[in-house]
Amino acid sequence: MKLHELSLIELIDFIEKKKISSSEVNNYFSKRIERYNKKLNVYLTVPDETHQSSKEGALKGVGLAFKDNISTKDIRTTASSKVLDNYIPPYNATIVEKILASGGAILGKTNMDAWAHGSSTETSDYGTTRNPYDLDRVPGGSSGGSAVAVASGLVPAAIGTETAESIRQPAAWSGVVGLKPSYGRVSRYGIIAMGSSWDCPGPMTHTVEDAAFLLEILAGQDPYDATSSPTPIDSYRNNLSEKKKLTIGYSLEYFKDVDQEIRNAVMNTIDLLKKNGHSVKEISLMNPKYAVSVYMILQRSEVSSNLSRYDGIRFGNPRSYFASEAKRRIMLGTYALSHGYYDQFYKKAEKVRGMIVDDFNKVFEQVDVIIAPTTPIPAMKIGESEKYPFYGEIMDILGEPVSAAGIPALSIPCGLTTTGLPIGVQIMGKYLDESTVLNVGYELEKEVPFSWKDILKKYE
Amino acid sequence: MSKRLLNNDDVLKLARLAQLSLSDEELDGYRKQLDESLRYVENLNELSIKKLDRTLNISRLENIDREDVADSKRALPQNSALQNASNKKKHYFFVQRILK
Repeated sequence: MKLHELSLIELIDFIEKKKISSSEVNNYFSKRIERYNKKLNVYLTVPDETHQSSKEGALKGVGLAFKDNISTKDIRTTASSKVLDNYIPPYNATIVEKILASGGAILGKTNMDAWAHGSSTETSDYGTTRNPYDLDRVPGGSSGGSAVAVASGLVPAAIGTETAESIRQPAAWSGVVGLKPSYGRVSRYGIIAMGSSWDCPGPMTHTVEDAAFLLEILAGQDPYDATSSPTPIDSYRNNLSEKKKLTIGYSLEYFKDVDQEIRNAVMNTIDLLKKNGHSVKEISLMNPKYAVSVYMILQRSEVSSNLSRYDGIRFGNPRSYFASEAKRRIMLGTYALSHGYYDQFYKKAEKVRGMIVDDFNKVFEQVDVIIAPTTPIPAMKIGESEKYPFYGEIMDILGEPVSAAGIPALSIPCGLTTTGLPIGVQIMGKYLDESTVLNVGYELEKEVPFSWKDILKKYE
Repeated sequence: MSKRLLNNDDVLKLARLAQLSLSDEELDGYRKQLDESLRYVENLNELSIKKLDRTLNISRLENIDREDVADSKRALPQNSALQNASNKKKHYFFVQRILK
């Protein structure tokens, strides 16, 4: 039986019906990792034994993949940087504890851009992950390893993290579902801190139902993360099939300079929603270029502060192990926070961030969700990113406003280009309204011209 | 070509503040890239923001407090806290002397 052609929920169902055991499932995926990891460079660490606390609970013993900036007790965690080459966390991130407490296991740790700085995995100190649709292309990033692990059937589902587009962009380029929850919906405790006022962990899966199911496990207030929200979590999975008549918004600002095929594919999904009885409304949003500037200033500032803890004394290697992208970001952040420039950069960016929050709030008085392309172009060739001075910013421009405002967004595949590369559409929602975002994604995924099983034929 | 915002000495100063070492070859590249970034974010000047408040946090929360007591579940035993240190003596981190 081809277990990698089953969704996470289907696999769990098989285990519950005793058609197969969880160890058989985990061994099956371990064998696939052995077979394909060299080609795709997805996993940095695969523990000898599956770390597990119990096989009871909703996940029934199934192993998941975790991005390598998520602290896993006794399992090497590098954030894809040689600074942390030998780092063995003495504790688990809250989300790891939650997965283990729900009967899940740790199948392996996935490659990423070093420190999650990047949108291709090319800044990883352990080599670039390959896009399963075209091995000469990047998978997107920074959660590229988690995206490809799922897309190529090397794990039933994975966890990624996003500061701005780092879940959605690799999900779009590698043809998987990626959910960036609202800021504060999922605990950041134990995630290697990057942009602390932005970071959001979230699921990367084959199906929207898998994402909703995992969000229910991951979400919730955490006493160890003061920014985690006390608002009770929804029954995300139960709410999926609820039939709603919604108002769907789209802004032409998000279709400018977007590849023609992507524009058409996303417009087609809007037509599908209209056909299904939703009303569609053109809205106007702030030009995303301002969010890029806000992100560039605030994120670099937070990076310079967060990465100052790596002194090589308590853990990790000395600062001379930082590669160029981290150094560049640390220096820009140091500049933005330095005496005399603070008002000009940091304070100004914080004010504009508030404008972006207000801009979305105003639009969400008129619409329930906003639809837009996830990325302006499909996956690029390895090495091509060097030609773009603002590669990350250009690739992530359509996702940065959402991250600046802290609202949720879901990227799902909505078709392929004529060259066979996945196209992602994103659904943005109100703060903490993951339910509606997932509901729309669930409705769409059944009707868009994309099947996640097709690519698996290349990785039998 | 517009005026440079940063010169090489500025970049070296930033590197020193951040405790990073740069090679001579790196220096020029960084200066150009930092310059480009600073030029990009000038687009914020197109917006009128004088009257706006700063948004310090987007969690929509305020004043999250907890009891001022140590949480033993969260504390690490000495061995675990030291397990990743490259230089330790007995049960302590070993660091270079700062005061002479």
